[in-house]
Amino acid sequence: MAIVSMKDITIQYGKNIVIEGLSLDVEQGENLAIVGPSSCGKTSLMRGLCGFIKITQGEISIHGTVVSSPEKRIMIPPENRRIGVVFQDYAVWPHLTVIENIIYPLKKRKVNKVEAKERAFAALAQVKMSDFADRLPSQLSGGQQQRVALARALVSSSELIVLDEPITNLDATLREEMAYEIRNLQKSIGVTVIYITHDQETAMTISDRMVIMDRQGNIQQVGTPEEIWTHPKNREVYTFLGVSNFLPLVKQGNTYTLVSKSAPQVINNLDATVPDTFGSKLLLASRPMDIRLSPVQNDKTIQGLVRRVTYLGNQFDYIVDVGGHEIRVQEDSLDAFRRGVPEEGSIRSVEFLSPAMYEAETNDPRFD
Amino acid sequence: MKYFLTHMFSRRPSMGRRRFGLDQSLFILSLVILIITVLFPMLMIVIRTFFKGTQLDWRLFTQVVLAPENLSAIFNTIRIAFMVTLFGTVLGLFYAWLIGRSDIPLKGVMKGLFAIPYMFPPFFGAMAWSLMLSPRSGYVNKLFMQITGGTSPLLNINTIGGIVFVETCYYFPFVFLQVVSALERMDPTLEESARIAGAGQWYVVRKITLPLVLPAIAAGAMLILISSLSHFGVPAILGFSNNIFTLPTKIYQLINRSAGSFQGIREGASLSILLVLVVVAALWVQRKVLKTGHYDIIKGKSMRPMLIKLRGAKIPMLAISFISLFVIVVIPLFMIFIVGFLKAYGLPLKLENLTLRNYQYILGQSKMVQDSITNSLFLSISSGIITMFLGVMIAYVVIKVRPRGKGFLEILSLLPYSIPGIVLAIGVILVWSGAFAVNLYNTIWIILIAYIARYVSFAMKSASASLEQVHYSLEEAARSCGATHLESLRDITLPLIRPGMIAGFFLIFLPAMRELTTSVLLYGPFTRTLGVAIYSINSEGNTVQASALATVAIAIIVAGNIALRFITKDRKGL
Repeated sequence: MAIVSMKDITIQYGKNIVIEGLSLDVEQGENLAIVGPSSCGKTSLMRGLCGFIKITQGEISIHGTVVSSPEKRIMIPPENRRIGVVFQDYAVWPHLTVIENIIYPLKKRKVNKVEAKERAFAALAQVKMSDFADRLPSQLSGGQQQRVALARALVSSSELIVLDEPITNLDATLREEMAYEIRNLQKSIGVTVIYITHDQETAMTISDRMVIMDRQGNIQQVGTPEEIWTHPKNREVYTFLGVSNFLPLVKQGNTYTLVSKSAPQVINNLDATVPDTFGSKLLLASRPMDIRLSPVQNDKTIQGLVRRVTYLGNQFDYIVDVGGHEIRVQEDSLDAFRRGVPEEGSIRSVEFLSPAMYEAETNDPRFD
Repeated sequence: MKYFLTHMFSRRPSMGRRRFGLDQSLFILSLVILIITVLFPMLMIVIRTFFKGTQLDWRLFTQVVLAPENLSAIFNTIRIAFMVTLFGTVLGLFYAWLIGRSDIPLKGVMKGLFAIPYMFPPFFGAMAWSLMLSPRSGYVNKLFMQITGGTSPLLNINTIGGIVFVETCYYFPFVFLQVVSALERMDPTLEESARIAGAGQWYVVRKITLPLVLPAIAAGAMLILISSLSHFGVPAILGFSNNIFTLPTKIYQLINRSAGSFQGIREGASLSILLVLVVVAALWVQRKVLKTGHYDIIKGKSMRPMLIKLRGAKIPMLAISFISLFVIVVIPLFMIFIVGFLKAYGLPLKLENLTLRNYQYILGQSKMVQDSITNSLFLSISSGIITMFLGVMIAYVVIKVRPRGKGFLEILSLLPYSIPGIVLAIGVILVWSGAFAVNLYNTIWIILIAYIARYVSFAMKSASASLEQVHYSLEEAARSCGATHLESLRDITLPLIRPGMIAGFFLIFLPAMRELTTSVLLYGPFTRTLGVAIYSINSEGNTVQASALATVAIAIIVAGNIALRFITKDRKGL
C-alpha cells in the first residue's frame, strides 16, 4: 500500500509555477530517491509534503489521510504529519546538546521521560554517536551532525523519513559511508525513506526506486536503478545519468550512416534495436566507458582520430574526432596498457558497445 | 509582553478552515503598533501645521518659516552641521588612517579612548567645556586673565565655534569607526599590486585607498550630518546664554515659552517640518553619493594589511594623537568629576575646597533628583524590554514571514532613525495629549511611548542581524518534530537569538538612560528624567550639583557598558 500518495499536485510561488500536475506514490517500506538537477522543484515537493508550504492544487495523503488539499481546504500543519526530516544543512539546534536534540521530538509527542531517554539513546546508538550525547553541535564535525540529524528524524517518525540532499556537504569517502549506513538502517528498521538529491550516483547506490525529474519539474522516468541505467526512457534521462556522447546517424534499412563533415562512414552491424516507429534521423547514445578503440576494423566500427590522451591514474581519457564530432572515451588503465595506449593523432576504429538509440528532433542542427 | 503574545496567539489553527495564523497576527500587530507610535505622530505634525480645523492653511507655516529669528536658526543649524561634518570627517579619517594603516604603537589604548565619546551624551561635553571656557567664569579663561592681567577671555565657548568644537569631539567617531572597519576589510593586495607596479606611497593612498573607502567615509559623514542637524543638548547649553539658536533649540524655546499652549505647539510643529525636510535632503544626498561608489572589492574577512612605516614621524604623531585624545576625552570627564566635589562653582580647584555635600544633597535630599533617577531607570528598562520584543517581532515578520507589505513595515520601523528626537516629541504630544480621547500629558507613559518610537529602529536592526543567522530549517526541523509554530519560536528561535536580544536591550537601555532631547519636551512636574534633571539643575546655575549628578550618570553608563561587553563576549557556540 502506498504510504504517501500525491495526486496531480501543483506548487507555485506567486506566478512562478515550480511543479505542475505531478503525481507520485511512495510504497510502504521502500527507499525512493527523487533525483533531478538543482532548482527542479524537488525541494519544493518535499516542503509541500512536510507541510512547510501550501500546494496550489491537487492532493497529498499520508497513510490514506489527506494532509494537503486546497480544494477540500485541508492543510494539516507540519507538526501533525509525523514525518522525520533531515535537512540539507542538518538543522541541528546549536543551543541544545546532542541528546537534547534527539529527545526534543519525543518531548513534543508527550512520551514519558524515562521511555524518551531510552529511545533517544537507542537512536543515538543506531547512528553510532553514543559517545557524543552531551556535546554541543558546534563541537561536532559535519558528518557527526549529519548523524545526529538522522537520529532525530528516526526518533521523530519510525514510519516515514524525508532526507533533503543530506550528504552533499560531506567529502567523498564520508558520503559513500553515510549512504551505505542510511541504506542499512532503512533495511533494518523498515522505515520508508524519501531521499532527495541531485546526485544520481548516490541515488543509485541507495534506493529501491528512482524518480527522475527534469528542470521543469516533471517526472521523466520512475523505475529501479537497473531499469533506469539500462533503459533510460529518453535523451534527457540518458544525459542526466552521466557523461554521454550523441552521434547523428541516418538509417537506411539495416545500415546506419554517420552524418559527417568528411567522407560518410557506415556501420553495418549495430549492436542496438531501433523501434519501427522511429524516423530515419537517429542519435546514437553511448557512455565513455562503453566505447572501445582498436587498431582493427570490422563491420561494427567506424574510424576516428585520437585528438587528446589524458592519463587519470586508474583510467585513460580520450577525445576522439569521429567525422567532425568530438566524443569522449574512457578506458581502464590496465586494459589500455594491455591493448596498447593509442597515440595522439593516430587513427583508430571506434566500436560502440550496447548503445542506446533515440529519435532526433527534425530540426537537430547536427544533421545539417 | 511575552505573556501577552502567548495568550493572544495561542489559538491553534483549526483543521480545514481558513486559518488566521500566528504569522498574520504578528504582521498585523507589528503594523498597528508602528502606525500608532511612529506614523500617527508624524501625520499629526503635518495636519496641525497645514490645517486649521479642516481648512487647509499655509499661512502659519510660511509665517513661522519666514520669521527672522527662525531664519537665523535655520542658517545656524545648517552652518553648524556642515562644519561639524567637515571637521569630524577630517579628524575621523586622520585617526582611522593612523590606526588602520600606519605602524603607530599603542593602537589598543587609542581604540579604547575612541569608544569613550561614543558612550556619553554630547551635552556632558558642553557642560564640561563651559566649566573651562565660559567667558567670565570658566577656569581656563580665569587662569588666562590672571596671567595676562587683562579682562578678555582666552576663548569663548558660548559661540558657534564652541558648539562646533564640542559636537565635533563627540561625533567624529562615526567616521572613524566606519573607515577603520572598511580599511580592515579591504584586500591589501589591491594596494600592494599598485606598489609593485611602481606607484609611490602617497599615490597609492590617493588613487587606490581613498576611492575604495569613499563609501565608508560618505556613510560616516552623513551620520555626523544628520546627528548634528537634529542635535539639541550642546547648542542648548552653549547657545542659549548668547542667543544662538538652532532649529531644535528654537523648537524647544517656542514650546517652552508658550507654556504648552496650542499655538506654541503648532509653531513648533511647523519648524519641525522644516527640520525634517533638511534631514530628508541630507539623506537624499547620501543616497546619491553612496550609489555612485559601490565596491565589492572590500571583502568580509579580515586580512593583515601592509602597514606604512612612520619612521621619524612616529613619536610626534603619537604625541599629537594622545594630546588630542586627552583634550577631547579625558579632560572634560575629569572636569565634571572634580567640579562635582567643589563646595561652590568658581572656587579654585584645591583640596580644601572639595566636599561630598553635593552628592549628599542630590542623592539624599533632593526629591527631584531621586525621582529622576527612578524615572530614568524605569523608562530605560521598560522601553528597553518592550522595544526589544517589538523589534524582534518586526524583524521576524520582515525576515522570516515576508508577507506582502513587509517593505512598508520595514520603512515604518526604520523611519524613527532619521526623525530628530525633538520632532518625535512634538508628534507624541499632538497624539497623546487628549486629541484621541487619551491624555497622557505630564505622565511618565507619554515619555515611554516616545522612547519606544525613538528606539524601535535600533531594536529592529539588532534583531534582524541575529535573526538572519537563524536559518529557516532550524524552525522547520522543530515543526516536523511535532512543535507547533509558537512552540518552535519559544524553543528554538528565541533561545538562538537571546544573546542578540540582550545586546539589543543594552543598545536601547544605554542611550535611554541619558536621553535629553525627547524628554525635555515631554517631562512633567514629577516625571523628570536623569538627563532633564542634569540639564535643568545646570541651567538654574547649580553647576556643582549638576556636575555631581552627571558623574552619577557617567557611573551608571559605564556600568551598563561593562555589562554589555561582558555579555557580548560570552556568546557560546552560536
